[in-house]
Amino acid sequence: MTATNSVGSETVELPPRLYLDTQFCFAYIVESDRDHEHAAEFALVLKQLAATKLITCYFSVLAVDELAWKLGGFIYDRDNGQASWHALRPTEKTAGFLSVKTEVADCISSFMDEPWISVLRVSDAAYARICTFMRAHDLRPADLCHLTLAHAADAGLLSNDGDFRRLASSPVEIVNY
Amino acid sequence: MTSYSGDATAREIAAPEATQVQVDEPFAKPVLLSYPMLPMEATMASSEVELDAASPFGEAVRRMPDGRLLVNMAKVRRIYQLTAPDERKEKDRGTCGRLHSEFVPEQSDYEDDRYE
Repeated sequence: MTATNSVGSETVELPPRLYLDTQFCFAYIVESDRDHEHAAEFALVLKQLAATKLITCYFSVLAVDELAWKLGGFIYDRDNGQASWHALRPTEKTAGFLSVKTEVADCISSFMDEPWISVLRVSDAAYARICTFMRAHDLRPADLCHLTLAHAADAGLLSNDGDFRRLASSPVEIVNY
Repeated sequence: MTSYSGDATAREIAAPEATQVQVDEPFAKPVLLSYPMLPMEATMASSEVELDAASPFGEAVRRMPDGRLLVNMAKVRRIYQLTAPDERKEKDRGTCGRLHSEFVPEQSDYEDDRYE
């Protein structure tokens, strides 16, 4: 499966279904992220394609979990200074997250409310495939689950995450933006 | 009506004959419309399918037979700037970005420990 890269291209080729990786969602939401401009522009296209039912963009509960932690760390650093989040001990991170959870929830709920976002429903067969992919690919568990979910949806995986880009013989199309 | 078999010549495909279709309704008297009937081979030979040309967005997107989409990003940008300035303004205000802080996230988060 080949990777699709839109950066610098005049014409982008897209599959009719896209699974939104957490990396894309974070870049879309956070204006100061290095990939925000690309994500925002790409999302403008996806919104129109979804509105005309040419494409379906899936968001998963796994992405909610990852996005919540990622946004939590970002907001915590913003409010308490750079690297404050990483300075917290593991046992302190839950308290750190709880201190910013309302803003995190607001961000995620606004994102999920956008009409171009569809919630992915997963079959039993997809769960069974997670361990198959775990044996076959060198990815962290969360990324393996993303890969499995995208595969289950017969969707391309939208992400600039280097771990996906470097993945050899990916079972799903990796779409960069 | 002309039928096109699988061995239709290039000339037939390139210059399909006009076909007349009689329409009784909703007009009071019969009206003859004339339009070329494209052979199936010519349609299928095309790798791209036009979307609704009446839609501004249709100019920028083509759908291939397998459902994949070809999106001309430059045209999309032009369409948004010309026909949807409010959308651009919303983007500039940060509708896409829920967090408007100048604070820059740690880039290492992507590769190392982005998720706890």
